[in-house]
Amino acid sequence: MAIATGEQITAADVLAIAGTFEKFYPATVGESYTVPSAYGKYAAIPIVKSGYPNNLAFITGHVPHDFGSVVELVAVVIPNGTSATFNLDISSMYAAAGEAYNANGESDAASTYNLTENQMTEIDLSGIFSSIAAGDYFGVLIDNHGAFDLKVLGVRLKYSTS
Amino acid sequence: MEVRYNLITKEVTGWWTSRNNSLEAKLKNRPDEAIIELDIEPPPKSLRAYLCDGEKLTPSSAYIEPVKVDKMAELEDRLAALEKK
Repeated sequence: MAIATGEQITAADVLAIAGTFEKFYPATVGESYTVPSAYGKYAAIPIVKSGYPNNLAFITGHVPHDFGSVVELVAVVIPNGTSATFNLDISSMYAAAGEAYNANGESDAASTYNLTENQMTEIDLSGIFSSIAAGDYFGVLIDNHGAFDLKVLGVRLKYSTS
Repeated sequence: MEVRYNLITKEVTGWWTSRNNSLEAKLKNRPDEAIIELDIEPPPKSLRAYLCDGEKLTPSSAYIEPVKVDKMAELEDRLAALEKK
């Protein structure tokens, strides 16, 4: 859109220009055969990969204050194998400053995923963030129950402004 | 606290203490799940540690409490084993 010199800009104009924004959150912890040094789903240790059995990847982040609603919210992984029905459990916690860390949480252990070896793959997380809000801190746990390793890169949030 | 659970498996799939908004969004693509209101604080363990019968939360026998591994002790054991060789 074009705005003429001297024209008054409204909030709607700003939104029209702004469109959507994206944030990427790198994975912050991963560990094999043990519980990562985390509290709830929050942690801050670099991750390399997660893999079978019951290995975990954690990603922690913050929802921008201009967040309005989720357009896309995905975890980005690189599978070490191929499977049409790969078993991943995904779960979340999210809370605003001043709330209990586990005030809100969701999980999806039922879904399976179509993964191709070495293909950059996005795992939809929007179903475990149904009520996330601007200013929330969040944690994501990816629990690998599949037959091969995953390299977990992080989480990408694409959002529209309020 | 709002608790979402699977009507068939009884697994807890979500809880909210501060987001009493759209039930529609919370139940999107979850045809076998329902939400109830419980007068409790969020439990200390993972969602997977609990089942819900529609009235209360109970411990899930399928949930295995993760065990913390002492990496340093593990390393020392390996070093000791190597020294014996």
